Amino acid sequence: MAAGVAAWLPFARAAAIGWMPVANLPMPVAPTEKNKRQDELIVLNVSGRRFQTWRNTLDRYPDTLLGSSEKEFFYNEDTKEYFFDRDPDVFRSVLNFYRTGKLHYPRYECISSYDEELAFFGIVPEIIGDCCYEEYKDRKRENAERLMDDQEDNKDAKLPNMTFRETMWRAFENPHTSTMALVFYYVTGFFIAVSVMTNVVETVPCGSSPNMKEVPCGERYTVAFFCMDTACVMIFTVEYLMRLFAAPNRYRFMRSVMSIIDVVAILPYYIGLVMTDNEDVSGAFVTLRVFRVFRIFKFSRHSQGLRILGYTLKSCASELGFLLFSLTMAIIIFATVMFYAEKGSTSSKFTSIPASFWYTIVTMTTLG
Amino acid sequence: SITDEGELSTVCYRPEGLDSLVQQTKFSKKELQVLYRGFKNECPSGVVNEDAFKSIYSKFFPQGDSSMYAHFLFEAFDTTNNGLVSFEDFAVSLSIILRGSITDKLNWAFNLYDLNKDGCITKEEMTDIMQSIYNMMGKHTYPSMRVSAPKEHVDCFFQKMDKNQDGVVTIEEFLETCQKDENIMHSMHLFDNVI
Repeated sequence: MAAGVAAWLPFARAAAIGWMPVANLPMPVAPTEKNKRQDELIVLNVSGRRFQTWRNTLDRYPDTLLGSSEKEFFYNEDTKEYFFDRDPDVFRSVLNFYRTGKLHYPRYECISSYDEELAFFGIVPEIIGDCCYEEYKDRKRENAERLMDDQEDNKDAKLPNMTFRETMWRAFENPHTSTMALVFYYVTGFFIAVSVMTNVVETVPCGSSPNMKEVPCGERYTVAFFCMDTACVMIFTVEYLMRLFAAPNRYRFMRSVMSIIDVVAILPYYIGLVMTDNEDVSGAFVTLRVFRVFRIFKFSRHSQGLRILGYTLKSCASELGFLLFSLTMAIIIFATVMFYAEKGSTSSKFTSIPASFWYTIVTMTTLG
Repeated sequence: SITDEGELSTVCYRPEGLDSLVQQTKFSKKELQVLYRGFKNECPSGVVNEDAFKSIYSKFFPQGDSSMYAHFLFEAFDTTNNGLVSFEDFAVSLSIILRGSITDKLNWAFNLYDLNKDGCITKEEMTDIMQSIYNMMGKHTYPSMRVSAPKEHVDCFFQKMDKNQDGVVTIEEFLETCQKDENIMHSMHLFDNVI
């Protein structure tokens, strides 16, 4: 029952007059309160700041420190007040809870000090009002993550009884745990960079012989580039297989974003090996080589910032999705309008609605 | 009152001074202070409308549907008939119920039952009241009530109260019967130590 409504108890009892004359049996006697004190003011001295409130206000929540007889432990006979050696700022929220029935979380307050005060006064944080609950939960989550990060940093000591597999996994996930892990980390990073550079340099026109036109370096030094590519792909394959072996939950590992990027990065090479020199498929094969650029995403294991970018995109995925959707709607609307507007004209380039999509997209994105 | 858009109106009703209320009611100054603090806490605007009344009442009787009975109670409290119960109405009615003489209390109960305030209780009015009381008790009473229980109760009531068998119960019949009934007299003393 809400605290304020308790004050209406006399009214609820009085309403019994409605059924008294019709009752067939005499009504039972209402329970009287044993220690019916007159309402009195009590003084709560919290680190020097005095708060005063009615005793009834505190009695509303008898399962908290202030509402139960536990507060008698803090009673100071000399000054006739209850002294608490706690933070007076947080106490404001605590006392307001008794007054209004709603617990608020002030934004400027540190989450752990707030939790400590609530624990001291015996108030469960789950009753925080809707207005402040989101903020409280967010801060609590951030704090928990920070604590977890701190704990990970402090894990210098090697945990006992780790199998070889677990050691490997730890080495992969956190390169600072051992020298081998660090070496592996830098080597893979180096090879990612080399692989990306090769892809780029392949297409640069190298110096030409006098009688031939300019050719890209890739075609001039085919063997060298092929060897380089093979070396990189072998390193990546070995790395992927080792990670797969060490993963505690292989199925989950295979579904994770990073492993998918790994697979996509090395797949074109293997497909290229398997495919014959068939004219039809080689077109598709060239397209597949584009996917080699995905190797650059492997850097996100090495860069915290890139991962944060990934999380940001993931967390506002719904907003981005909505943006895309509304743009699509606008494109379709305008393309339709353009098509029908230009339909009459014979030399119109807008032969169909999809044909006018290009014009609409280019105009809406102000490319022109 | 609250408008359609949910904005709080700026109506703020302040009761007359404490002293005049002490004279109008049989409460002491301290009791009125305690009552007003509770009243103001729940209704900062100074008046209760029917919805607030119903919601407060439903908190005290969660098992059944108390809205009908709360409606009848509201009508009885709202002496000025403007859809709002101010603190004076509230205090005066409470004073009658809790501190009034037996006759006053019975008069107030009669006023509650007489829904159209025409001076007599018809069978339909009594049936409505009885139904609302049974609704308030809810379906989970022990022993559980039959569906026909309200009607039987009304018949029993009319048999007891309606002396001249004219189908309605007037105030005189009501007072006479109640004052002769020991159970009712005893129950009325229940209110003596509330508040």
